[in-house]
Amino acid sequence: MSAHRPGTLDTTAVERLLREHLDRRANAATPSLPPVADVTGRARRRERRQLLVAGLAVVTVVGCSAAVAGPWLGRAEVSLPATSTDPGPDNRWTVHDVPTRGDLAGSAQWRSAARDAVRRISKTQLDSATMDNVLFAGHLPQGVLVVVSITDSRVDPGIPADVEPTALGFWSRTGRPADLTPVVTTQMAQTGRTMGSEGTPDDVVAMTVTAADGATYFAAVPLVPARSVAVSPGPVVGRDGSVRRSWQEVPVTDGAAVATLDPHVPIHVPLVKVDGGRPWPVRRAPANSLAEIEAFVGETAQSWGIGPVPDESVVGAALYPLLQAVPVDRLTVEPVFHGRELPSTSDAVAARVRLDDGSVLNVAALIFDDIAGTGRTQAVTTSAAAFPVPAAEAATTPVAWLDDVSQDSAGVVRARARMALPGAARMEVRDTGSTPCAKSRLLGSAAVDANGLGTVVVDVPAACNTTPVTNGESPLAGTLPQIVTVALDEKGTEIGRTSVQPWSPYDLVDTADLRAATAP
Amino acid sequence: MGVGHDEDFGAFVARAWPGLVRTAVLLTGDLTRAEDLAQEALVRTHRWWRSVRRQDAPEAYVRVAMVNLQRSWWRRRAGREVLVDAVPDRAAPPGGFGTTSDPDEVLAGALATLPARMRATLVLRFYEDLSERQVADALGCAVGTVKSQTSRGLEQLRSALAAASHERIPEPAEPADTTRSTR
Repeated sequence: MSAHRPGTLDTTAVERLLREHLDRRANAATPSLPPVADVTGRARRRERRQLLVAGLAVVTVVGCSAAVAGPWLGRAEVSLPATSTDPGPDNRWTVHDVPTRGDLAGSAQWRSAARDAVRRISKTQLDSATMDNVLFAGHLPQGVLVVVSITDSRVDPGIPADVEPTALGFWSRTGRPADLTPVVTTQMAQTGRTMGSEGTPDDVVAMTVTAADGATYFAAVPLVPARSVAVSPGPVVGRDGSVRRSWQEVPVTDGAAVATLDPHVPIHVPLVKVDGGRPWPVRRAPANSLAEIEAFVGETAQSWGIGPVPDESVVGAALYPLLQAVPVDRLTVEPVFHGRELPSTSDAVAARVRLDDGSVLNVAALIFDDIAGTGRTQAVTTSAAAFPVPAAEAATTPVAWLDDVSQDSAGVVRARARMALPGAARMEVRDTGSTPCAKSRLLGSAAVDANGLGTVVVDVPAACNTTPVTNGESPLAGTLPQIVTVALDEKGTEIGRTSVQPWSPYDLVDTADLRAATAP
Repeated sequence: MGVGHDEDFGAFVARAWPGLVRTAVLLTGDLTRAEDLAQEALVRTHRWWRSVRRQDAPEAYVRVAMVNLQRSWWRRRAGREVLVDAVPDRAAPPGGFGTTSDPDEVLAGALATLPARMRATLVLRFYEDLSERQVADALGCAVGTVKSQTSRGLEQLRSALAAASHERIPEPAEPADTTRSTR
């Protein structure tokens, strides 16, 4: 490294330092073996699919325009998609090739209006997006919903656009094509993925819209041949603290499913299942604009009142999922903790959030600016906890979360359990007695540190561990949610408890009764 | 396209892979995502390999695809939280976290905060040693844009280095303030 004092560097010296840094960093990377077979195989499969789609395009248009007619709601009959279009060799469409659904599927006027709407949004939110496919165009009560996929022509110059697909929704409350306005924007609409490391392709594109009278409608277009979908409007927190989701079966009619959502569910975090499969998120219009969120987060950070003002990014990470669903004027934040997570690199905040309907959620988030040994250096924030708690017990329910969950070759799961609760002097971690072994066992205990954060490293023996490491499984089927964090006061008396890994309304899981699962 | 096409392309993948991944690491900041990025760019190149192979440097074509893919991924992921498998532990530097004065760490952190397009500009200019015209072609923008992006990027890095230096490195001793000392 140069002997220059960085504070006195000129541009030439910065260039030299940068060249040296980039060389060192690039050479420090040890790539895996070249994935020759994988690359060639993936390319072959993708090219075959594109050829198949091109060959079927004409059939798609004719089949849909003949099959779909009339308003959607009110139809009682159940039918399989009335289209001759083959979903492809893997029995799956993409957002680019799924046939257009809805009673306006054959309307050139609405297709043109949707293309214009994408063009308008591309000027403000996208570089050069163009409409690719119309997934749905149809009447809902009090409006028309159009769902489209887009491609970005600036990706891969010279190569046909095949980016991660994105689905956007547009809603016309007046029912006129010229009044289409975005209901789901690109920032929240990444869906219908067909590649990349983020998991399997989506089974369905689903979104909600809210009419002028406040009614919320749901529309889903399965990307696999489907007989029915089930929608869950949101979690319901019982007076006893139990958390449940109710599921409403919606028939798939001519390739799409439309329903109204229960207006009595206070927090709309809707999920959708296709033919009883895994749950997927339903894209919904954000409850707040980005400017409203930024202003709210900024004010909340400034008034946190525990230690120095926390970084807005970590406060934002704690609140962002909630602010997607709840208008800012419907919630208040009660800070519980702010401090470093020793010995971790991360800073953390925890808070209790009260909604105007009486619901209470505990939230927490972490931020760390370096990940040793990975070469990843950007500031990373993550929501660590967001779970409903019984309103009557909110003041004594710890905010709890887990760090560093890992599993060794012997199957032992190690996790660092964290807890924040004003008034707590000590923290214990206990098995509730419902795991396969170690019934009622004390798994660890530690004093709460000077900042008010409790930390206990928990080792769950392999014989006790039924927690799947992979995502997509219900955590309540596993071990960790059945282990509780117990907060004790200075006299050693219990003042509150919660699961070390409470269920979150944002988890893509169906849930049993949280209260029963974590009972002593 | 047949077996010969795939064999030829496979040989190219084997030869170019390490270099592509190293460039991708600088674009993404992460080896796992770098390998994803390089692999995806190669998958897309496969279809056009017959014409790409005739170029002097087929790797350059793949790098353009990587840069554009990375910008696309970055944009789509902007504003989303990043989930990691494990929250890392490390010892804090003297003075606490976020106070490092190691220029390598400062540069790594500053680069990670640059917009994807600006970071790509710096990587192509100072790691790939492309000319401003070549960078402009790769990014699909004007040479003037490359100049301004480079200038602003370097200035941000210089500011980060200077800030770290002022925080962590004591200033040279000032001459004694005789006026004050006599009071």
